[in-house]
Amino acid sequence: MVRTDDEPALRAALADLTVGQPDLPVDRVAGVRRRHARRRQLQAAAAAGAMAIAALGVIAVSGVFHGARSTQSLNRPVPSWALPWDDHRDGSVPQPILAGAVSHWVADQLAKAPLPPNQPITMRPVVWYLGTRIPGTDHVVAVFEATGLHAGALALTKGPRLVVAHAAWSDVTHSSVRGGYAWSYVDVAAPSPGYAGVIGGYAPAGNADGGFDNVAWLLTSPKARDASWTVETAGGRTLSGDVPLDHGYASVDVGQVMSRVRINALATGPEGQSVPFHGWLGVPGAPGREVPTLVSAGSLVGVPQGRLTLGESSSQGSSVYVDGDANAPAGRPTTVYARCYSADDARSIRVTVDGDITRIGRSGVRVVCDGQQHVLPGNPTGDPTARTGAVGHSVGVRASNLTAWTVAVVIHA
Amino acid sequence: MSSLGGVVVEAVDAVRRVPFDEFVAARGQALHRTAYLLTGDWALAEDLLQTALARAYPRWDRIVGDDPEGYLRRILVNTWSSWWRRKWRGEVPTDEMRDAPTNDEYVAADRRDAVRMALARLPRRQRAVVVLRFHEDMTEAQVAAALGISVGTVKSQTAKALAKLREDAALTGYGTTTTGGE
Repeated sequence: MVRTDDEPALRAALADLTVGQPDLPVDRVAGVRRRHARRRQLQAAAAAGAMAIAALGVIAVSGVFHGARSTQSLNRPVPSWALPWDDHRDGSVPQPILAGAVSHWVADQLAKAPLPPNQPITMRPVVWYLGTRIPGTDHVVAVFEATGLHAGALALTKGPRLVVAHAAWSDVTHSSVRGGYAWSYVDVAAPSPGYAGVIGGYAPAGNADGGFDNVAWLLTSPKARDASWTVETAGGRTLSGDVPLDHGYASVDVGQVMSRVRINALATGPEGQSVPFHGWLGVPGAPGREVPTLVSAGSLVGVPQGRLTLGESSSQGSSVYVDGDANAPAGRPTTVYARCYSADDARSIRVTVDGDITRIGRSGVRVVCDGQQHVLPGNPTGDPTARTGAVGHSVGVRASNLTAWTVAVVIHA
Repeated sequence: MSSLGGVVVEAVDAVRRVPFDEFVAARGQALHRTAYLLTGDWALAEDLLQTALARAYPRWDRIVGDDPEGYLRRILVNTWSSWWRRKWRGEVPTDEMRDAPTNDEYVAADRRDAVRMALARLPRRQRAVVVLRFHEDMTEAQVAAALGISVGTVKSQTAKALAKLREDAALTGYGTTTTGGE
């Protein structure tokens, strides 16, 4: 009978189990000092609170403290690498749907950079910050951080990641796409645990005018009580406001906008002391990835209508559209009608007829984004069957995500 | 008594106290491994270690004796025990998290995973005993002191833990094997 000598085997097993220990974190001692400081702050606050209660002889009524709130408590324990912020999953999105967002993201990472076959795999739980349906929209947003050797993806061995996931509610509740293609992600290196800024984004909401309002959502430290913001709205007016934060989270309808929301200050403390914070609402480290739905650039005037007029098309960011009904030989001259404005520092867009969509930036005509209509000669048409094998001509627009444009192209017979 | 106390303090002062930063740099990774064997997760282990270090930090200069590591290890285990009692909620595990497919090339990883899972199934005290006794190579008396239990309890908990691990077949493939009958 074969018998294992238990104690040496156990020693060997325990030693083997620690294979794959992560490198010494560079900030371990700093992390310890931060914890110590936070612990002292909490103790001081608790002592002050106890003294205040004793002096007043009153017991706080739970309702004063928003007893029905659904977020976890301030200073919930989180791993040292994570933001010490609250968990705002409010139950409006079932956890299996949120878990689907995580597993799909992990699958993406795995597809991009799988681990070598002999690399051990360690599953890690994620730290949740937000999982909610944005009021007034068909929009779901989930925010979490993950770290380490996660589900065998090499990309996840290089430090914690902050992930902001968006989806349409109607998509994530539809069984055929749930957990699959429903989610889109903004994935960045996680900010340091001491990060004092905001994470935020936008959800579009159709309005009665046929346009889109933007519901801005904002996540920050639970110490912040409210945030002051400004945004440029339709017509170039500047709108300002203060939004109260529920333990570091809020959403607010900022209407139709022509710019990103700028956060100017975060108020903390009982007297509303403000911490200046000048930054666009978005995901730290991913400028331009969280963008509002901008007001349309406006209609074009004087565009000849006919079979060889492509557009007019109005959108935001880069895109290509094909008019399968337009049929003209290669080499015909074109005229581009365009109007655009930009909510970032982009100064122009580029419009290409029948161009290589991967090289739009190198061809076609440049249109200055000053809000005015421009009429410019475009490049000659290409072979109408070259791109798709079918008749028709295409118009490609290269623009930043924060540039709204309206374009039409006329092919001259 | 006061004079005796004075002597003790003087004697300790005569021993060079290891600065906190130096100690963490030198022994942090070893303690991190211990924390991992308790928690089964490297990130949680780092968190546990930092929590324990943060508790030791303000009284570092007053730690009497020349075994700060033993002191830290005790805080580590006690902190982990309190986490367990609180039903640690710092991270909420996701449901339906997909693991990567495994195959025969992952034998070593699978084996480690089996040990990790078997350890996770041990009751809290048995797990602590196993880690301290067989990873930290502490004597039964040291384990008893660290956990605040009797030596007899250490012995019985060790025997039970080994029996469970044997039932789990988690140790298969490790250590030496001998042939013979019982």
